[in-house]
Amino acid sequence: MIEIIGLNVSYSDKKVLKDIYLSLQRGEKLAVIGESGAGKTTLAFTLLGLCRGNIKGRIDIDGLEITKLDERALKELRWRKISIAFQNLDALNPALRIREQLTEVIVEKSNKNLEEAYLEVVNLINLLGLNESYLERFPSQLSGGEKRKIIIAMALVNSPEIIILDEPTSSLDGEARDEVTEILKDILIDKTVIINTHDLKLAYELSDKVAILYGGRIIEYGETKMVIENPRHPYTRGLLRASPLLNKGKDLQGIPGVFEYKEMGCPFSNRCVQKIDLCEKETPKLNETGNRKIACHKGGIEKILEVKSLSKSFSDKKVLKDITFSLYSGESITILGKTGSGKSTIARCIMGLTEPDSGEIFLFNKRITKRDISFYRDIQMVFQDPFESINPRLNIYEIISEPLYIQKIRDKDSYINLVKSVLKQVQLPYSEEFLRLHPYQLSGGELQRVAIARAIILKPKILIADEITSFLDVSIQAKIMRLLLDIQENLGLSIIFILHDIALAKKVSDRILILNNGILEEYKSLELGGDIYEYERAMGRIC
Amino acid sequence: MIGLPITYSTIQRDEIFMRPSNIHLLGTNEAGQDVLFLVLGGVINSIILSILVVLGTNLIALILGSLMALYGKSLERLLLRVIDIFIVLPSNILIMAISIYIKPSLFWFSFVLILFGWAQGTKLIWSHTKRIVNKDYINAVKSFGGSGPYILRKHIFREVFPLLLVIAIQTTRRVIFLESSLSFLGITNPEIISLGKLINNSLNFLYLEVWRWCLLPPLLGLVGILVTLSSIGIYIEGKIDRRFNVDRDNRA
Repeated sequence: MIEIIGLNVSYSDKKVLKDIYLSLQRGEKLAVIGESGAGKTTLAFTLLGLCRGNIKGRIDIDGLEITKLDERALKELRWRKISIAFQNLDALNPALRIREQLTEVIVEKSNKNLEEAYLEVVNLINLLGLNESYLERFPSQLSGGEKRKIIIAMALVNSPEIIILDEPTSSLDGEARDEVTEILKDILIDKTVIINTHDLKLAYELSDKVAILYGGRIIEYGETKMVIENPRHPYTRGLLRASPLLNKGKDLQGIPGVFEYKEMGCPFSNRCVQKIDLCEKETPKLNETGNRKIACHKGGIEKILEVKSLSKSFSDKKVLKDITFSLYSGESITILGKTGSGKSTIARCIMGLTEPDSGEIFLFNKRITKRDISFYRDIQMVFQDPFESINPRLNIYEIISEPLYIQKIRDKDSYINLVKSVLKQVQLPYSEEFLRLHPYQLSGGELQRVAIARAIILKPKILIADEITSFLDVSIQAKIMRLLLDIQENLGLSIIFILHDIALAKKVSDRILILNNGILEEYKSLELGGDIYEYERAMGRIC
Repeated sequence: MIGLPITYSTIQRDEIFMRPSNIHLLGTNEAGQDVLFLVLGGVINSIILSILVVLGTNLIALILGSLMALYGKSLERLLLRVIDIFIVLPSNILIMAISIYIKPSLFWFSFVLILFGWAQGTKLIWSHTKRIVNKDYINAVKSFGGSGPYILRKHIFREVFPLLLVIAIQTTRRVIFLESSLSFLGITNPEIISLGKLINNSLNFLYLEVWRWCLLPPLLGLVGILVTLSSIGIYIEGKIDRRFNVDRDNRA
């Protein structure tokens, strides 16, 4: 039905859409998701022949190459074959009544007379949940939700086969948003629809396929359910984390940095947590990866740690039985279980502090056979009790810089700057006087921040946080957890939290794994805002 | 130039049993030797012997004790049994027997004392290190990639140093007491000046008034050294206890 082949659109020298390839069958619904300025509206306008930019590539609608049509032919096509519900509520003419604006489109684009057009409009607005009286109103007499419905009605009046909805729920409150979504579900059932939105929940509810647009390029494409339930591109995951409607469990997180226009390399590279040198040099192609298409040199979010069949017994008690789980780049997971269930043993086995009876650990897809000094650059741990995990004889500078000495990081002059920079990151003072203090001169919360600073000074990829707030009061606990999430966002850390508090786990985790009688069970991603009580029931069974 | 250890032959002779004067501040003994020189020589010899023994026993205790605790396993179990055997041995009697048999020089005597004195300190260092290596801050150092030698050097040695100081003072006290006792009994090398030997010699002339400058100075010297070392030991132990208390208070 719609075939977009190698579409490039630019305004002056600035490319707004780059190498877009999309195919849409009759009746299919595609959501185009992206932040403001990603190129969604340009794509919609190009499909309608309204784009004033320089267009290269080809768009076929039912075999008709619309990029080659003249304005007259395009006018014939618009509103009959393809229509749009604009994002801007001011798209309605303030000087005309709603009746006039809607019937005008019908009369102009079909052979129907004014009376037939009126009847059709009444039917349509009834379907949209409005009564006939609204037709006599001016746009200024309508609420935002009502205006939105009229704009949608305008796109539907001539029963076009293809409808583009540009941010159909923006500026609506929750109730109006849900109402519009429900209406759209019913009336768009047999239409081919392109939904431009940054509302992931709307895309999840209305579309069959989703294309994630970033910097004018499609970076992830696939079936909506699959992409949203299991995002594989770091940007898609970032969008999910930032979505308050889908993300009911974990605290909202943004995507680090801001969009930077670039001609070369991956458009997302300056914000990506798993960037490699190639990302700056070469633009990744949208390649088929499993059940979707991803534009990423690393094939999407990479698995950085994998634990397979880990078992450990102490005396006769089998504490861990065939523990298997994975950790992806930039992800935070929680291993949840009651005290003494063996949670910390998992962490200690990963770190090489306890020898497991059996099992394998893979770091960046390489099996760990011995842990040399480089292993500990990638993975760090923050221990439960800061008073135990920090040598009381050392001062703050000696404590935080110790990993640098051990790892033999050259340029010792820079140590002081590195120490000050991590202290800043953990929101502690970084004066010379503070650096000379000893642990007994700090509070528990401050000392735990020092421990976190020490753990992140080597810029590890993975951080294991073993019950790091169990010794702290509630307000300090909240601050420390928020701090870790901020650090995760900025540094792109992957974090394994070890916790026994389900409420806290929900706040900080993308996934929760529950350890019960030595068996680790994984639950549905919280990002989907799925049944969070499922966790409570699971915990209820074991606590 | 007087060599070490200081021997009787190195001290000049004058008239015997001279009273304390400007020339001989503490007078002379039955051989006409200056008592002050003899007492100082005895103290210096005791200190030299103590230093040798303390260096030997502490080095063994530090290296063996901390390595056993850090690396553990079967070697630890084996060495612990050996240490227990050495601790239960009647070491003073064995030292006497060996000294009578070989009449050792100061160096060899220190070797004998090290042989029978290393076990106690090693066990103390082992138990203290064992407590440290199980702490999370050592695990944290391991998790930065810290090697065994690094952990020993930067953390364990630092931590056990105050304990080594206490062990050193106790060892010194024991060495001086043992050396004086054995020389008093005439078991050690007769050439080397010793406070015990000076006391023993002076006891032969108790019937004369010379005991006041021949007996009292070495006796007071010996008591003075032992009391001073004991006081230092008690002070340091108190300091360490207070430090641990501070740590505990902060934890609470």
